[in-house]
Amino acid sequence: MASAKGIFCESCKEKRASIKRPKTGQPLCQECFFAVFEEEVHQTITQNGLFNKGERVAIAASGGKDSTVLAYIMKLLNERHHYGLDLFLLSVDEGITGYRDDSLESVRRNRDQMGIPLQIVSYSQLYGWTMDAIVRQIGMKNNCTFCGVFRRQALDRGALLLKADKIVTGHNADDIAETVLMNVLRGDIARLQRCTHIITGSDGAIPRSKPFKYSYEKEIVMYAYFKKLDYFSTECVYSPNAYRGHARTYLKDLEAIRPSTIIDIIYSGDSLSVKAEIKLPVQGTCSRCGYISSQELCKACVLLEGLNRGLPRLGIGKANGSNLKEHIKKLQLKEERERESLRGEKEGELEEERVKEDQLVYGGCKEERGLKCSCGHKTDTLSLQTENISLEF
Amino acid sequence: MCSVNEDEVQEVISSPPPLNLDQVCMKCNSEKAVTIARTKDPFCRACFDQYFTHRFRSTFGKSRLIRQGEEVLLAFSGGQSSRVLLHLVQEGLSEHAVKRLRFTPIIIYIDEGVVYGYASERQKSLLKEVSGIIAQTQFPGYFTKLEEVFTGARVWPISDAVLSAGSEQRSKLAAPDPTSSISQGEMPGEVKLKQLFDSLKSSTAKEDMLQSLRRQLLVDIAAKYFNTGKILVGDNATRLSVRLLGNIAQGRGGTIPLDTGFCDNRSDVMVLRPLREFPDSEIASYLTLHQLQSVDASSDHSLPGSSGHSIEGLTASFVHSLQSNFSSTVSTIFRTSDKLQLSEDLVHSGQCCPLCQAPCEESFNEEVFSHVSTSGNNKLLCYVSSHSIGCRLTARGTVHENILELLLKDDSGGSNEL
Ligand SMILES: [Zn+2]
Ligand SMILES: [Zn+2]
Ligand SMILES: [Zn+2]
Ligand SMILES: [Zn+2]
Ligand SMILES: [Zn+2]
Repeated sequence: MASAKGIFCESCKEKRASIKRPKTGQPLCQECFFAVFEEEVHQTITQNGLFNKGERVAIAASGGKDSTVLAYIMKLLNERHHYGLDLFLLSVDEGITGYRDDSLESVRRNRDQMGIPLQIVSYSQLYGWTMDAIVRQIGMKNNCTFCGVFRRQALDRGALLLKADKIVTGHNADDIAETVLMNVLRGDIARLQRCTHIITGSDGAIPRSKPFKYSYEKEIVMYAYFKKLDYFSTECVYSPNAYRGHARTYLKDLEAIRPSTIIDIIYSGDSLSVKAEIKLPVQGTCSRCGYISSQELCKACVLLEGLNRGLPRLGIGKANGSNLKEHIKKLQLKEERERESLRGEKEGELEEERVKEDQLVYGGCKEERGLKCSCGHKTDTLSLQTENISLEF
Repeated sequence: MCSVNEDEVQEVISSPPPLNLDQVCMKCNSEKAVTIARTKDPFCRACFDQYFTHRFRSTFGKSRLIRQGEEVLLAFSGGQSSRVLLHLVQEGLSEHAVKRLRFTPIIIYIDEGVVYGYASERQKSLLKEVSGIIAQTQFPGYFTKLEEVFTGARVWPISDAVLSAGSEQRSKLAAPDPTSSISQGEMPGEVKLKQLFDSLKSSTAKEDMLQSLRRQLLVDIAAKYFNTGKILVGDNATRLSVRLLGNIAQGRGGTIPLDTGFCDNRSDVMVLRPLREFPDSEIASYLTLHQLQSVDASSDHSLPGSSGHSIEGLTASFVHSLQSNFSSTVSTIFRTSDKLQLSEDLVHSGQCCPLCQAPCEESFNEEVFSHVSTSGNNKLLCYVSSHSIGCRLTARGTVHENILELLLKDDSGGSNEL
């Protein structure tokens, strides 16, 4: 190991390096790190044509690190490169007493410090139910399903309400790579095929994109740290199941062997091609609310239907909704059985997986792994985000 | 944990699920079960054999790729999977087989001792052991050495090895190819191979290189000496699951169908994987029930100079540990490979990587991937994108680029056309 004094920034070759860039291992000075990080996001945005001039763009904001850095970068690039975007922060208030206080506070600070307008939409606005009311109705069990499904749609519904043209989320490269692995492990070919898409929901729904598709989590943390950005470490709303826990560890181990692995996995995901004869679920729209759905009714409408009719377990478990009666029958049968069979286990995991994906939007989960879910469930405590990051030489 | 190459992955055989002593065969419902297959089905000896043979045959049969009487190269490493493959082929060709197989196998063994840094004594005894097994089958058997990839892909009959333990090999078939003979003063293949591997820093790169060279050599031998267009290999479901995941981790997602499908037709010579439906546990059951000896050619031997884990090794232990918790892991991963195809871009690319011979496309933005360094020879390799994946990553560590160059040049006349 050379002494710190001897190492110069590989980019400007003038200043002393203070950072070992996680993605490449290059020694860089702080300024050059900022420059290259920002430039990569800019390239991602322009080369993928994420926006058009004059568009109104909702930045999904949780107050967590990813969305905080995203908001900061979006504003910076919008000004630097004259994107001509009308940016605003979009947060969702699930209506859980106390739960959002800190994160909304953090989002408000983002608003004030960065000068980006903030819009908060509430569950009662969007669904007629607050999470607290849902918990009162169905008890503590299974409400993570509600969190997940409602959250996913909340963003779209909120953006629609606020007349946004596009939504951007803070999904980073690590999240996407992890999802690729999960989908392989679960054999979910449909999700595998689309999980690396940088833009989703272009038909019908408001297009969502991921400007951090190629940004490493470690670099986002570094960026926030050196820029002294003010963010809230969101509590995790998802308890990692065995499978995802393994996949995450595997990814971290791979990254340790070869740092480019994260990008390589995303590249693999992008270059997969599914056989034409494999039937993928057709994406239609919900007949009730118009949201994208592979079933006649979208998941949220099935859940709402259940809530309103006092059958809260409706829709929990396997995705369904086209035939309510049949589905209720199935549920009854299923509840009789113990959920010990592998199949049952897998369905449960599938559900959690969906939840997890939705949570990402809110910056939870990959942050400091918090202690409990919004509904009060305990979750595993995993290590903090800064582990394994060598900030300095 | 060991550093893993193809064969080693297979050595980490997971034991078959525990068999309850009083279980009855699920098929005939009368005999006592002796093993478990398809993750949970108890089988008696006869029904297991029937199931195994049937599945093996149908993997072949569906493809209808092998013509009657055709000569086919069978790559035998001595490891468990290829031992089972050899036995299945032997049984299938025997007179008492219900439906006889119709092709003529030629067995080939690759001595990879140089790469593993084996002492010549050990190399010889391995060769002798393997040759013994091949000789018992009465099939024509040959051996070659991995370094032959540099020197014209010569082969020697295994009878030489049995007689003289591999020393003083006389090359029977090798009427030396004018294009590939070693001109005077040039480095011997053995030295080149050693230098090439020494120059690869990471274990991942070494293993990746080994796999590419092995493939190249087999293809060259099949085409040059046996004039056959088909090679059978022992890849099983577990190994292929590991490879699928490992491919994804190395950016090789686009070529998964070639690397894990039944038929790998990236070159004119096809590589076929008739054992691809069987997980490690069933391979192990088959070996036990038939009391077959395999030769431990490479397990517990990492490639010398490797530091730390390789992607493939890590992936193998990941899959094995997951499999022991979730018994459907391998079959789930494996099924994914059946749903994938080579993308249109790759099918029509018209270009291929000179090292792994996989088709390449060139349409990626290098800006986003600023960790990419592309220079010199590496530009030729696996530019499945200008993003440095696959072989380009492998070659990045090569200090002796000239050796790589030699290798690429040497083989450019061979089988590089798609
Ligand atoms: Zn600098
Ligand atoms: Zn919850
Ligand atoms: Zn709906
Ligand atoms: Zn039986
Ligand atoms: Zn290649």
